[in-house]
Amino acid sequence: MNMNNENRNNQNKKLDKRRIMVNIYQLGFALNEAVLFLDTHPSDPEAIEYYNQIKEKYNEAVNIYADYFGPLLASNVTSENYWMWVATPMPWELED
Amino acid sequence: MECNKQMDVMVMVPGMCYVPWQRWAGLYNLDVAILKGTLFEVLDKPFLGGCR
Repeated sequence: MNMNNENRNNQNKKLDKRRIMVNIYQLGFALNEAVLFLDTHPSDPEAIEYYNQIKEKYNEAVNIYADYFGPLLASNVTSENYWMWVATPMPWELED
Repeated sequence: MECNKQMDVMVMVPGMCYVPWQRWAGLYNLDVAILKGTLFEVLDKPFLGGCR
């Protein structure tokens, strides 16, 4: 019984990890697209508004990922007594 | 920076390329954009091997 719950929790955690990572990819892509548009349209208010919105969501998603699954960027490392960068699996290492 | 100049195709100089000014419109949803490779519907030009 306990074993089953633990399996289910691991399964859910894996799905969340995947979902958040996909979200980060999608937000990062949209952010880059907005940046490219703004390079040639620096005074477009709608584009600036979109950029600000997406940037906020992107940073949020990266921080959530870092909190639950480990840092994605070296600058996400917040631990004081251990270098978490090497302690957590790399994002492409999907544990089974 | 913004260019709103309208130009008749007949007065355009031959041998020059023209790129129409893009407008902020027709955005794909996030999940679609990354799969299409562009955020903008108007720039979604899949390679069709010369066929339309």
